[in-house]
Amino acid sequence: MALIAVGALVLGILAGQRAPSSPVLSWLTYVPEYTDAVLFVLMITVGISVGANRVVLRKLREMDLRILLLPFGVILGSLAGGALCTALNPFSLGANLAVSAGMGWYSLSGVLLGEALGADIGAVSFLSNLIREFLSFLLIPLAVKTLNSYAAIALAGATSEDTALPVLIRHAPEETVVYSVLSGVLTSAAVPVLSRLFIALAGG
Amino acid sequence: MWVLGVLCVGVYIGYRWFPARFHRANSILQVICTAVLIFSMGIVLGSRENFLRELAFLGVDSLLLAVLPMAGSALLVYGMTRRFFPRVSPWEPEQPEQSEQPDRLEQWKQPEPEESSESRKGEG
Repeated sequence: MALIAVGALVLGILAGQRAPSSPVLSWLTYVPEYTDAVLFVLMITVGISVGANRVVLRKLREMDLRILLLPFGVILGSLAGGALCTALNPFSLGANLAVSAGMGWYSLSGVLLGEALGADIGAVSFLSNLIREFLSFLLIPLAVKTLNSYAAIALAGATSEDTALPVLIRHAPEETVVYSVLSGVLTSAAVPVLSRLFIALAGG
Repeated sequence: MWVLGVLCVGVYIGYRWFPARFHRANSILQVICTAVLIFSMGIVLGSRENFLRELAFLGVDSLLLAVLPMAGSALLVYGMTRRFFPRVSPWEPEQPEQSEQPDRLEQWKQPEPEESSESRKGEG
């Protein structure tokens, strides 16, 4: 899976660089417009995997409020990591918190921060959140083995509800997907709110 | 939020009538969709005018801002779940339920092992 992910990313970057000027490959520039449709199919297939597994549904019935610890920990841990970066990079505390509040949602975070805090922070936000999404693909199997499935969900941040799901479902027990989606949805909901809050703190 | 709705439709399909023999195909389709999404992400990234320059100048800072928040999230959640989920949680690796079914893909490759063992018994 990791090899497929790396290969797809490298091919995508090459296509992104070459396609606009190539008459043969120019249609590839339209691929990103159809990601919602692909995500739709992906979610159906993930749902089928969940629904076909009776254990998942049993676990869903047993779920209690402790599930909220997951997004809470994801958000707080991300922000703590972002705050720590202030000692290691030239950006302000507010800017670092704003970038880390993206939690893997690179498109939204990159645009929000780029508009409010300038192109450099926007690019850093875009890249770092993209790196987070991509590293999740590679590190989820390791996190499941060395820590636990909750920690693997936490790595993915806001993307645990969509793109990271197939990796989680492959390497962690299938019932994980229920918690992963719920954590991802709640974390994603917090991204725009926290981004704007820390943009204001950074003076944007 | 539409993602959640679509997921629920998938769950219903999987619960009600999705044939077990198509589980492997379903799994392969998941991998294909994921690869397409990452490929698409690469296109967005590669088509940025100053992508390589951005990568060279801002790459280290970006990497740091990816790795530390990831580590913070994972470690905090790990600590919290160890603290507040004292029982062996149902989705930890050492759980017996999972050890009985170590690899779902392998399971789907051999969809009805009980029947085949029974048929061997019958033959014997």
